[in-house]
Amino acid sequence: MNIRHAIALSMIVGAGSLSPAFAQSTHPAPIAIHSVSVDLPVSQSSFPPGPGSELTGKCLICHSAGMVLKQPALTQEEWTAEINKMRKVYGAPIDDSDVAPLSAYFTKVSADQQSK
Amino acid sequence: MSQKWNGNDPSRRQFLKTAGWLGSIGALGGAKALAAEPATAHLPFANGERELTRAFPQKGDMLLLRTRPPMLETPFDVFDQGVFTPNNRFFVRWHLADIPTNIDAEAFRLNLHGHVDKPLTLSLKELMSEFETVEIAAVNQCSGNSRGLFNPRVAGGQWANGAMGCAKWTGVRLKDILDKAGIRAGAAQVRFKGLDHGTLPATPDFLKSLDVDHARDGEVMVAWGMNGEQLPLLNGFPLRLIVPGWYSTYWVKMLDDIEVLDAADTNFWMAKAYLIPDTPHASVMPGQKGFKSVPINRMVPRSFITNLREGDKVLAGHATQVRGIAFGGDAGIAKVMWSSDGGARWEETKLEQDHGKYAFRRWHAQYTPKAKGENTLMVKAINTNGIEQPAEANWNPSGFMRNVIESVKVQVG
Repeated sequence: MNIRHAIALSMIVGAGSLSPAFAQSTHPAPIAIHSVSVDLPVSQSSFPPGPGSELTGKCLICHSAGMVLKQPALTQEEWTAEINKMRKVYGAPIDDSDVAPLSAYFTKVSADQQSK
Repeated sequence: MSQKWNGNDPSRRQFLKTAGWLGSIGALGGAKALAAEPATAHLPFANGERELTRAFPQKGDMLLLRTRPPMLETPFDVFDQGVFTPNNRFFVRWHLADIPTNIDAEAFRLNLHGHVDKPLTLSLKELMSEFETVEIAAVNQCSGNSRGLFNPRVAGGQWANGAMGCAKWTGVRLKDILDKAGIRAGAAQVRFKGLDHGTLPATPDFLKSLDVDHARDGEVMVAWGMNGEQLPLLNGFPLRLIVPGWYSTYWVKMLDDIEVLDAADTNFWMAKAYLIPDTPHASVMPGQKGFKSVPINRMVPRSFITNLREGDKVLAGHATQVRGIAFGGDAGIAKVMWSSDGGARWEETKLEQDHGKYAFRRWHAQYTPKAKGENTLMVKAINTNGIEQPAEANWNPSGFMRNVIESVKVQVG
């Protein structure tokens, strides 16, 4: 983490106190704000091999595999609805012809995950 | 920052098996010892295995639900430690993966525009010096907190009960900023946008809106402070919208744009997502169709036992404490009741310090298990509007607004 600037707020003084009668209190203690630079970790999870797994790269454009692998045992119909939401709402570049094999793959993968 | 955990260490496994006894002396630490150590945790539903990760910036041990965009759950033992959830353990939930990781506090600007007399562009320094600074203690809870406990299960982020937290939020009233800009007649809603984006151009930005009257109620805030420090980046640095009593979906992170609209917002995140059935407890029958939906809004009361877990062992005839947290949702806590016999008899608990109506409230009671066997402990909150937690779990296809009375089965030995 990189600390580059601080915005000091010396003009705001006084100890903060919260009175239960009012949800909000005034004159809280000042807070200094520093610029932030961080790195976010890279996902360590990956889709298991199997028919249809070659299509999952398109899922990874927007999210890591964990979101899929931690789902309950959804039916193929439910997976189809999820995939179509990703295509229609978020613009996932998944072809019509990929929906059936991808949903079949997820149905199997999610069933296999349930013992975890 | 990284620390290796070895959950397969046989000596630790043995310790975990034997550490669950709680008696009048409480010498072994029970649930606390259980929670602090393992590399993975198992949430109480199928496919509930979660890695405990320390890989995220400004965050300590968190349950990893998704790396990108991050979804991190607060391990439940944290809630036993106090009313305020530490910033480095506070849950994290992002929708879109293009999240800035370098934010210059001096260059950052908050823009306010739309149906106003005078658009504003505010630096952090201006925001902090030109308006009155206020602070509020409030619970921030994901709409889908506890979704993994829905039965039948539903798709979505599979949280247990840790997609919530309570913090002191420091900032300015949204009302004061809106009044400075001057809302024009005919304004309908105020829309909020953060610095995050989707990775695909087609992905809709995450935009949320509140009615003008709500935005101007004097409680909704633009905050830079969380528990006396700047917001962690993953909790929305540098600014976050605070909507006390409402679900977290409205608490827009990395807030940099406020737009006053002259009509109701029709964007995806308001019109299509985060909708609940317009029914009692937002509940419908599994498979039910054709019900009216409305945007999710006010929170409902919840309460939890935090010092005893499913399967913990307690000693017959020895007094021990049962304790936990409660919150009233959109109102304060009036009473927290508990039961040690599966809900047949209820007793009032002792409420601890009041940090304001939107905060967690700690409660405790003395528990002296009588006979050996299994005890089902239950807790329920009743808020100051007289709303109490229901005995039956709600169900809806999005897994929102769970607030059923929780129970914990303990073994009396």
